[in-house]
Amino acid sequence: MEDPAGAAGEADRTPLPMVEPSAAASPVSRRSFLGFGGALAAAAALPGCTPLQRDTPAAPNGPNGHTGHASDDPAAGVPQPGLNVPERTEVGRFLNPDQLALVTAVVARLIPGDEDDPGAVEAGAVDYIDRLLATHESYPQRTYVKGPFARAYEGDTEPEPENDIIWVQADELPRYGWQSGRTPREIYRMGLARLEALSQARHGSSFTDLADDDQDALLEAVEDAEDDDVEQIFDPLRSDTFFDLVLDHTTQGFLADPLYGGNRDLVGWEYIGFPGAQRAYSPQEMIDPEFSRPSQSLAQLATLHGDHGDADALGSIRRRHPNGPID
Amino acid sequence: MIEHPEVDLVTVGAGWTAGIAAQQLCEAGWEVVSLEKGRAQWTWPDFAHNHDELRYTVRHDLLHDIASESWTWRPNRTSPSLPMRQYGAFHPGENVGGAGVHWSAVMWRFLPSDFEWLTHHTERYGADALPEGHSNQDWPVSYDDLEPHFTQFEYDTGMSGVAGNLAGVVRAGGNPFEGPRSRPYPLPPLAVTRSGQKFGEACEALGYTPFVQPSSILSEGYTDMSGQPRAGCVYCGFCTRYGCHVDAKASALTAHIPMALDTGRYEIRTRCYATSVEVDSTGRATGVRYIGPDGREHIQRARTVMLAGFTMTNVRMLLLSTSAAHPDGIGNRRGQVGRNATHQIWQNPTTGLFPNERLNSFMGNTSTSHAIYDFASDVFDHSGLGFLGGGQIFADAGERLPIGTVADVPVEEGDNGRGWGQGYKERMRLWDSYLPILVQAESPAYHANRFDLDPNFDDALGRPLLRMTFDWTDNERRMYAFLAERASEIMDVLSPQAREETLELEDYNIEDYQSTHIQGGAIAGTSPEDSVTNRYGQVWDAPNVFVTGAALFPQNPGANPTATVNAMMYLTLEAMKDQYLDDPGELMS
Repeated sequence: MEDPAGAAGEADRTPLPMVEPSAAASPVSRRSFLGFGGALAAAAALPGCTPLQRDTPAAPNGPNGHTGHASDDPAAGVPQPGLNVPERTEVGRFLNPDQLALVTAVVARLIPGDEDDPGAVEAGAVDYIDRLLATHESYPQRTYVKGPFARAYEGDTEPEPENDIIWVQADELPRYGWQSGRTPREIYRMGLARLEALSQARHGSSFTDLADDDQDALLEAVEDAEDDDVEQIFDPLRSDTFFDLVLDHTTQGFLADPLYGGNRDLVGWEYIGFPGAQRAYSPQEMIDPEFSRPSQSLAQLATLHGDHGDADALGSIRRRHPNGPID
Repeated sequence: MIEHPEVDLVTVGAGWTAGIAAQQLCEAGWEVVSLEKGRAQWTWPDFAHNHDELRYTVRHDLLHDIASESWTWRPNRTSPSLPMRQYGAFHPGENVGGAGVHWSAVMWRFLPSDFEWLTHHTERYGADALPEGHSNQDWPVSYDDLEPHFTQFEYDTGMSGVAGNLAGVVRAGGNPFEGPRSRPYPLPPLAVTRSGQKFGEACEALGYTPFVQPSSILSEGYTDMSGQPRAGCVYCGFCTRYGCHVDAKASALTAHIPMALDTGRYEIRTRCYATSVEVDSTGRATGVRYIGPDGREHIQRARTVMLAGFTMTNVRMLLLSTSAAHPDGIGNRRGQVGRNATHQIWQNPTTGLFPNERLNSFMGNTSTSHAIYDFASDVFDHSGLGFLGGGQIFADAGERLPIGTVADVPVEEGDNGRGWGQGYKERMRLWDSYLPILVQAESPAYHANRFDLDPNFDDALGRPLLRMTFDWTDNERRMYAFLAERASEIMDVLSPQAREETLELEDYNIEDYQSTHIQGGAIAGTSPEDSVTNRYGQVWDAPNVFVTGAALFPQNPGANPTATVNAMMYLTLEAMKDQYLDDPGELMS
């Protein structure tokens, strides 16, 4: 039985690794979505003047806010330790204990590891995922979510028109990219429950109790989205939509800056040999086959101060102009 | 409705062309207001600490807010159109400085033959050789018209490269196929990464002429037109999709906008969303209507209006600005608005794995590499090939950050190739040991490809989104196949341990990034019968409305457009200072 809101998503193209389908819950995007300006203005606007508003919360440039903007606060460009660095916790912010355990088991297969050779779980990717879901009601990146939504049909004959549906030939639908109306929260809720159901159906056991090989085989089936039982159990969610999202998040949880909760102690970057948030490399370093530098996070990146006066070699960089707009 | 007292010029957008126009016109005494839908941003403090791949590359933090307004696409008239819900095939910007803040800063001058595409190709190959269904036209300006303006812009903001053709003399180290330059580049070329180096060596071995990609990123300290010295690039690797933390990457923020603000006659109003160009009963523009940050409607009155947003923003603004005098939108009395929508071929034909080498490809930027022009435009003989057009071949040799690149390591024999698991984890270690070669090539204009307003999807205000009808034709497929073969031959020289190839042009889709070089829709020409504007971007039907940017381009010559966008703005401003300032609202000659 097709769920109309879901079926649109279910014919959907799965996201590429760089595309993460989530809309920010930050005040900026809410305002934008409601209609430019909206009713959230703090100050009465003088005609023609941009009101002095702050729309980033306490963590400028933090993961929960959008772009930091012109500010006279010298610390405005620097993530504040304590505000952004996550605390490790076993208790989920969004996922319940069963969901946490299941996500952990899946993530452990996607980028495996152990104490000596950390993988995604050791790097805190589960924290990353849980934090993402807790923070963003919809998507972390701004997403157009207005209908109508696409629904795929097989064959050459387009079905009868229906309200709020745009029919698209199934082979053509991937060309339009992400067309789902489902948020990551919904995808995880539905997907995890269905993964567990699939495990029970095929093995009579919980996914978390299966041997590694059996877990891998199930994940391959979910990724490939070809088997009938997978399709039936996952319906109306496309199993590969769920799989691809979790894989994207796992990679991000392994390799994003640690301020988002993953890449703990920079283990992901150390593993692949990425120096992280670096301000500069020299032309000699760019062609050095033996180049190596320890990794550092954004929080460890030395601050670029604009106000060192005469001693500031980079005093030439552009600061907010006195005649420029203040947001 | 709040009315603001009339000024000389109001611009929609505060990016490259708005900044350039404001700087020159304010210095000439005009009062200018720019309406910017995004927010204020400055190098410091906003770009000082932005080295965060998840935020800016993966989540596109600086890009235009697609949640409130997107664009729809369909391949042809018989297919449904759907919105681009997430980025996407192109990456328009917003905020002060616009996409010119987070751009790649690659700078090409289109070739002389590009500007007379129709005449040139008809003469050389005959009318029968032209792609079926095309609508290509000659430009109303020539390379020679623009040459002094290209040069002026290069010196105004600083540019790095080696001139390949200086006053007609071909010189080593530069692009031997380029049009003649009156002056060398102001700065030497950028340094290259190991992968950029390898690619250059392979091209040389085949007898091509590789050269370091020219760039609006300073290779060393430079005093730009503002009189302020700026630092050279420090090759941090957080470049495209990021504001530059040291101002090495030129944008409207580095010189033009500060200089305009210095005059005291320029105001940028942020979080102001322009909704339409207002006109009087004769059809002459009287200003721009917009929604302010307070959510209320405003009108900024002005004697001249300039559309200075992204290509699609400008075209949509024309179509949505309907009135009794312009029932189908400004400039559209003869159905010309929306015509000649183009994008660009941009694909990765071959990728080689070099497991025992680190390429340092996470450093640098788009231009820390070599390129070849040996198969661009019409520099090579197309006789018998079955297509027209060409492009650059270059290495993806810099700013390759991990989240976006670890999944694309070429798979070696014996590896099951799954994008997860222990095999993937081990393969991930080779993330800096593979080299993709890229092709960027022409997008001819076709009658079938155009912009119009979508019937089903709207923005946060309930106004229709712009729809793009666009697909590749056999001409582009054959063009790409030819260029892909050439790229593959270059990879042969490098002898990778494993390789992955895509030698056929993939179906056009709005998911895979394809460059932000969407063009056309308000094309410039010599006659109102086949264009929307004259050579200055002045709308035939409403001469006090100017269109700027790549919406003016009749077809896409296949190289990054910003140099030509800005040179045309310089050309227009020169004419305005000469003819228009004393008589605003008259068509210039």
